[in-house]
Amino acid sequence: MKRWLASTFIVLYLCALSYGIFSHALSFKTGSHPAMYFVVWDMFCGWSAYSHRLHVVGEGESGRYYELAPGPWGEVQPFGDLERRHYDVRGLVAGRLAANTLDKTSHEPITRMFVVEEWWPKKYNLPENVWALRFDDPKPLPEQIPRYYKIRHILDSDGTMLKTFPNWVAHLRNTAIYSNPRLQADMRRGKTFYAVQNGDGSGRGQMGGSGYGETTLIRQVGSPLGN
Amino acid sequence: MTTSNSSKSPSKISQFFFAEEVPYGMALARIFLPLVLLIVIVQRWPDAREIYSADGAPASLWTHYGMASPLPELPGSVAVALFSVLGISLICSSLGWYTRISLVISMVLYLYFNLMDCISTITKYSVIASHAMLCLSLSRCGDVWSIDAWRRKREQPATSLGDLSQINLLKSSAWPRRCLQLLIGYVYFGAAITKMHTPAYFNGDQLMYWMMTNYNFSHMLGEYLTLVPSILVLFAYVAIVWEVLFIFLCWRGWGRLFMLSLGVTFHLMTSLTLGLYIFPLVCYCTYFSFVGEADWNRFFDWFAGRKDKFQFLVTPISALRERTQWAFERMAQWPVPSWAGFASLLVCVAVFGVEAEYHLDPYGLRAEDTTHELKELNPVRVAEMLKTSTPMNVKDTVFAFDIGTTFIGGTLVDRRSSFRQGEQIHAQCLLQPPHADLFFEVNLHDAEDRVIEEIGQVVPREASRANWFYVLTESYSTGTYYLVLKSAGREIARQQFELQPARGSVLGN
Repeated sequence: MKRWLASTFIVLYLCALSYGIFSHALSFKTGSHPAMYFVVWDMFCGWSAYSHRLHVVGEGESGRYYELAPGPWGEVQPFGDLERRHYDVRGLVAGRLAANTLDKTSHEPITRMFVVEEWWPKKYNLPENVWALRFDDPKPLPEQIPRYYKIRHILDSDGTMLKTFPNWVAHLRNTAIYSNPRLQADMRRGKTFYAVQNGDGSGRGQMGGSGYGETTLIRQVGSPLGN
Repeated sequence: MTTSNSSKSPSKISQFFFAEEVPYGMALARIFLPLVLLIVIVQRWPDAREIYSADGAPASLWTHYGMASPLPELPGSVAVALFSVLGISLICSSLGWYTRISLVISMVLYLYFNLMDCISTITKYSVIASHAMLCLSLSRCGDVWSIDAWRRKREQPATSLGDLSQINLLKSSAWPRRCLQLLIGYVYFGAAITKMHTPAYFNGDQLMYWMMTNYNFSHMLGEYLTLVPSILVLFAYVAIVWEVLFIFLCWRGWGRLFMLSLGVTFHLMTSLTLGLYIFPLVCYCTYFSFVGEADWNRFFDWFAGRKDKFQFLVTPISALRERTQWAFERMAQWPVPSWAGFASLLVCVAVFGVEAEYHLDPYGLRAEDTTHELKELNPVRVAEMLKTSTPMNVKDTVFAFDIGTTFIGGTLVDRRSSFRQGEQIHAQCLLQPPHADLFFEVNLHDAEDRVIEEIGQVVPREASRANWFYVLTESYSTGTYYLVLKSAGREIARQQFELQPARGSVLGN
C-alpha cells in the first residue's frame, strides 16, 4: 500500500513537471492558472532597456495632490533598497497600497487616484567609474537624466478601476506601429466610428486598455508576473 | 532480447526510486534549506502585517492571473502569529524536532504566505523551495542528524544486534530524493527553454540590461561585465548547454561532478552579477539530494583516512565536544520533550510574536500624539507626472555609438580610437528597444568637420543594433577624423579617431 501510494505520487509529480515543460516549450496555457507558476520555469523571461518606478498619487477635493505610496510610516524594501510597490510591474496592487495608506491617515476626501509609471534608460544606472570606462561623455547629473512618465491606471477613491492604459514600453511599441499612415488608413477603412484615446496630443493615438490594446500588440512572455 | 530488456526495465526504475538507503543527502537538505528560508522570514517578519494581512496590502497570486483568490486574507494579528509559527517551525525542521510535522507546517505556511504576496515574496526560488519542502516532508530526512534521531536512540533499549542493524533501521526508500533530483533537472531544462524563447539572450542584450539594475540586490560584478559583452555572449551559450544537459548527465560519475560544479559556479555568478542571494543558496541546498549513502560513506572513509591532515579541524571540534559534554549529559537527564511540549512552543512563539509586533507598532499608530498626515506633493512635480506622455527623444533610444574592428555575437567587442589606413572600421549604434523605425546616417568628417562621406540606413523597429562599415584606404590622409551619427539632420553622437599610416607603408616605417 505504502509503495503503491509512493508510486502514484511519483507518477503524478513527474506528470505535473512534464506538463509544465510541455506548456512552456509550446507556449500553451502558461498563464492559465496560478498553479502553472509552480511548474513553468521562466526565470528572467522578460527584460527591458529602461528602469521603472511606480508612483501612486491621490487627488483631493481641494485639487491638491498627495503621495499615497509609500505611507507616512515608510515602505517595505523586500530585496535591496527598492520599495515594494516598484515590484508591482502591472500596477495592480497600487490601489490596495493606496487604500492601506488612506485607511491609516487623516486626509481630505480623495476623489481620484493615479498610478503613474516613471521610466529612464538603464544605462544611467551605471556607477560613475563604469560609466567613464564605457562612454566618452561625462555621466549626466540625476536631474539631467531623461525621465518619461505615463499614467497607468486611474482609480476612484475606493480603488475601483476607472481607466487603464498600456504601460509606457507598450505605448512606445504601439506608437511605432500606429504611426504608419497605411496602417492608420486600413484601421479607418470600413469603420463608421472608431475610438482613439488621444493620449499624447500628437494625434498618433494612444489606445486604451480595451479594444486595440496592449494585449493585441505586446508579446506575452511567460507568466503574467513576468518575473 | 526485447523481452529480456523489457523485463529488466521496471526493476531498474524500481531500483532507481525504491532502493533502500540512509537519507544522508536529504538530512543535509533538511538542515540547511529551512535556515536559508529563515533568513527571508526574519527579514520580513516586522512587515508581515503590511505584506500578508487584511490590515495591509497583500497581493494574492490570483490577482495577477485575473482571478478571485480562494485564500482568506487573515486579520493582522493572526497573520503575524502564523508568520512567527512559520519561523519556529523552520528552526524545528532544521534541528529535526518532530521533523515531519515541522516540515509540513513549514511547507503549508510558507506556501500560504508566498501565495499572498506575488509582488515581493513569491519568486521562482520560493517555488523551488516549496517543491523541496514537499519532497523533504515525504522523506525520512529526520532519521539522521536530528533531535528525533537522538531521542529515538535514548528511548530504544540497548540492543545486541550490533551497529549494522542500527544502520539498517535508518534506511528508507530513495524516491523523495529522486523526486528532488528530477525537479532540479526539470527546472534547468525549463530555464533553457526560456532562454530559447528570448532572442536577446544570445546577443547578450538581456543579460547586459539585467546587470544594470539592482532589482534583486546590489551586486559586485554585473556593471563591470557590461563592459565586455563578448564574455556575456560566451557565458550565455555555456549556461544554456549546461541547463539542457544537466538532467541527462547529473546522475553519476564525472558527469555528475561536472554538472554540479558548473551549477555551483553558475549560481555563484548569478550572485555576483545579478544580485541573487537566496536563489543560489536554495539551489545549493537542493544539490544535497545528489548525496547518496554511498557518497557519504566514501567521503567519511576519505576523511577518516586523512584525519591527520585535517587536525586543524578535528582538534577544535574535539575540544568543543569535550567542553560541551556536560551539557549533553545534563540534557540526557531531562524528560523527553513530548508532543505537548512541541505544541506549547508553537503557541508560545505565536503569542510572543503578536505581542512583540504590537510593541513594534509597524504603522506607528500607537505612538502618543501621532496622527499620520498624507504627504502633499509639489504641484509642479505632479504636473510633470500627469501630463500626456512625452514622445520619445531619438537621442534616448541610443544606448551607445562605438567604433572598432571586431564583432562577436553581433556585438562590437574592441572599441578603438585609432585605425590604420586600409583597415575596415566598424561603427555600431546600440539601440534601446522599443523604438520606431528610424533613419540613421553615419558620416565621415575630417579634422575641420567637413563631411567627406555619408552613409545612411533604415533601422527597423525590431533591430537593436545598426552597423556601418568604412574602409579608409591610403587615399585618405592620416590624421584626425570623426564618425558622426545623425538622425533627421540632428547630431546624436560622434566618435573621434586617428587614422595612422598602413603597416609597411613608407610613412609607417
